[in-house]
Amino acid sequence: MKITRREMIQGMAAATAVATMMPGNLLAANEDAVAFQGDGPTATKKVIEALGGMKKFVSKGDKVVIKPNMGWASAPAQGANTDPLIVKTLVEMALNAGAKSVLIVDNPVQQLAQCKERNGYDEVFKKMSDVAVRLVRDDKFFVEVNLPKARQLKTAMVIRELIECDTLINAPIAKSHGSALVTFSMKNWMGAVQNRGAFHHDFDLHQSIADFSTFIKPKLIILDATRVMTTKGPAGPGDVKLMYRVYGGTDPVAVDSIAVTLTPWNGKELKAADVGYIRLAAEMGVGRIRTAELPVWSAMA
Amino acid sequence: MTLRRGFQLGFLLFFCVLIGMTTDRLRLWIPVEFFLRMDPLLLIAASLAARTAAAGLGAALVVLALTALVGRFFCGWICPLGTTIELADEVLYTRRKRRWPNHQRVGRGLKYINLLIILVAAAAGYGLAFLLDPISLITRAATYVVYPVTVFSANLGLDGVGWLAKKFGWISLTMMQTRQATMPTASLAAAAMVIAILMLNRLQRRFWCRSLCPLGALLGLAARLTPFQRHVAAPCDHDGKCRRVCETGAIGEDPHEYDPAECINCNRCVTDCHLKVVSFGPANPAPRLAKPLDLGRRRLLTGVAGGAFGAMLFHMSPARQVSPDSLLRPPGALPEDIFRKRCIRCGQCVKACPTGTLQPDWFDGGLEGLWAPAHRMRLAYCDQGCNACGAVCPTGAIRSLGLDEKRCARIGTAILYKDRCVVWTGDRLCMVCDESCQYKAVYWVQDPAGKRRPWVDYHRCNGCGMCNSVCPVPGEGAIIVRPDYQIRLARGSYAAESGRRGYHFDKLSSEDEYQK
Repeated sequence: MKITRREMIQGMAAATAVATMMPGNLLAANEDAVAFQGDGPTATKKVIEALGGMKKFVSKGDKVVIKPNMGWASAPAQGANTDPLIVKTLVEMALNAGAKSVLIVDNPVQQLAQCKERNGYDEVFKKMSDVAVRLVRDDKFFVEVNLPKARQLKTAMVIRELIECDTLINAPIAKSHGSALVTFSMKNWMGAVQNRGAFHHDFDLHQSIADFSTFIKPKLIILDATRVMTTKGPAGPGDVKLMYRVYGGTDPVAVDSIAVTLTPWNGKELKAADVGYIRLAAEMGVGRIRTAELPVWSAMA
Repeated sequence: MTLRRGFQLGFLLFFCVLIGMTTDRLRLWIPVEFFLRMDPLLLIAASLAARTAAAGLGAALVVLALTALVGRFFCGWICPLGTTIELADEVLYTRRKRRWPNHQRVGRGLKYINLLIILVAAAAGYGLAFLLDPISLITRAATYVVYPVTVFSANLGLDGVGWLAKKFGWISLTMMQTRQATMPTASLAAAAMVIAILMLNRLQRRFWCRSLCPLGALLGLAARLTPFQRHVAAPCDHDGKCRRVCETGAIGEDPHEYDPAECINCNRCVTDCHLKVVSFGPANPAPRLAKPLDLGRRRLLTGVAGGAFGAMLFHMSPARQVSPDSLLRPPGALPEDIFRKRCIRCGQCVKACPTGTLQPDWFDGGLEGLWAPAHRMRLAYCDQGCNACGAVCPTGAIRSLGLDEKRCARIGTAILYKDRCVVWTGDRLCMVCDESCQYKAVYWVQDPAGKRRPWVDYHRCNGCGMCNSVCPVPGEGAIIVRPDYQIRLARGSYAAESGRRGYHFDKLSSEDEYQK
């Protein structure tokens, strides 16, 4: 989990390259999406402050559930899983805001034990109390839900705790993606679904992702774009660019549409409308595509 | 509790602990194959069949030599199957009337027939020992059945804890579970054998050990040489207690007589004698061997013929010539012919496999392949950061390889079936095989209509099965690992071999090298 010297220098360079070096507290607190440049934990803190503070999302005694991407049995440096240190920051802030407990949960692609062993989460959360990291696959942890607003995916098997919690936080990582072009916040929910093969096999992938987004309503989205796998995602190993950026917001369509312009994906410049699920989700009223450029604030100030 | 029972329970516990520790997190100092390595029958048969001395043969021969010195101590003090039989007997059969009285000698020669069958088949070049060897039997039952059942029970317990945790808000105890190991039909057959052996207690106490166990027969032959003999001093009143309590009915009608080939050093004739006149010591005066070897001409011929028939059966099986597509051996498995001879079906590789892709085979490899490990990629893939199967293999049927070598020990090749793939047939947006492939062996091609479709670069696929395990097509999936281009080497480097054949299995990026 150590940040190497190369990473550090690149991160510093990236941070100083940001044109708008304004302190974040000048931001209006009603933005639907914000972006900060800096190391993961610091930028995450700044993002949440800019969005109005964790108390806006977490009330005293809340049962909080965080859904990061921990679907792959690889180390954080590969950029396949959400950086556990960003999730740790979220957990600490949630507990400080009065949360009763925090559950970090995912249904990974690779085998549970290997993911847990290699993705760094065990190591980071081992000594913290009121937190549990769980990777699940068995039927007993899922519940069938109806998606009334969906066009194709009318039902899905979802991790039960996501439905039953008080505060749901989506903590995805930005990656290129073989089938879906890119993956940010909305695509991350496929990791909460047990029968996700249906997304590929029975229906249109983009439509299914948009369908699921009409159902699931996270209170907060934190998108990890610190180590960005710009090619060969979602598993890698691909070309990981160190971008040291964290996006945050409440509108999944806005967050995803801004993240699209971060970098070329698999060598292609994309716009939000090029990505099927973003376009469809906007069409179905999940959120609004944000075309105006988003100022990127420095978390170093 | 006697000293002997203490030893027995200790060894049985040690056996269970070793089975539990047979995992991919194996540390070198844990001798998980301890009991299998002590078994001279397994190692002699495996060495004989494969015409090379199996690793660990020396240690097993030491056990044989010790038996020649002091008798069948292994059976009475160490054997985990023997202990299980005794414990089962005490729980289930003590109060029942047996079929035959304790001292009666029933079918004692059968075990020599079993031994002969195994040795003759081994001499003919075929491995049969796995079928009846007690250590192989009990290890197999433990890895294939006891372990999955234990996990199932543990998960039931964790469900209960989880329910309470949810009720009272103990977050650290919610949603806990262990990966459930599967239990195919072959596993049940392995368990059925052990259950049948336990039920033989109905005939006589430790009937298996007296009359059927081929390892017992081998050790019995050695034990005939022991100078460490039983003596009965003069004031014996012939009350017959020693005959009744003897674990294996080794004492003759005249209590001075006993059969060292049958005696398992249980010491009950010494401790239970009310006059305390029985003792064991170096043979002086000359020992009184009660019985000649229970091996007449008929039995000798039956054993030899049985072994020859078994060898012939394997030799003529079509499964030796045609291996089904579904049969994928673990990476590092010796060439199929030697592999079948060396593998003793202990199931330690299956137990150690962290993903559960290794499963006991039923009859895909013919009768000869029964219970040998095979991949079921649809259940799970072969983890590329793990080399446990080779590390725990007691006979080297699966070679113990470093991760760099193991990556090149190609299992097979993923074959993409266009007519099943949802991208080729249904124009769906699916690239799960490509997404999950660590070797980037899946790439896009253009179909005649110019649409992009997945395809496999056979130079880059090492058959790990990741794609097959995640393919959303129902049933066996649309991308299936077949034995094509597999690399099976008896010796030498897999990396060099795969290089010679022009394959590239790129190492994962250095930053991703997880610590093992």
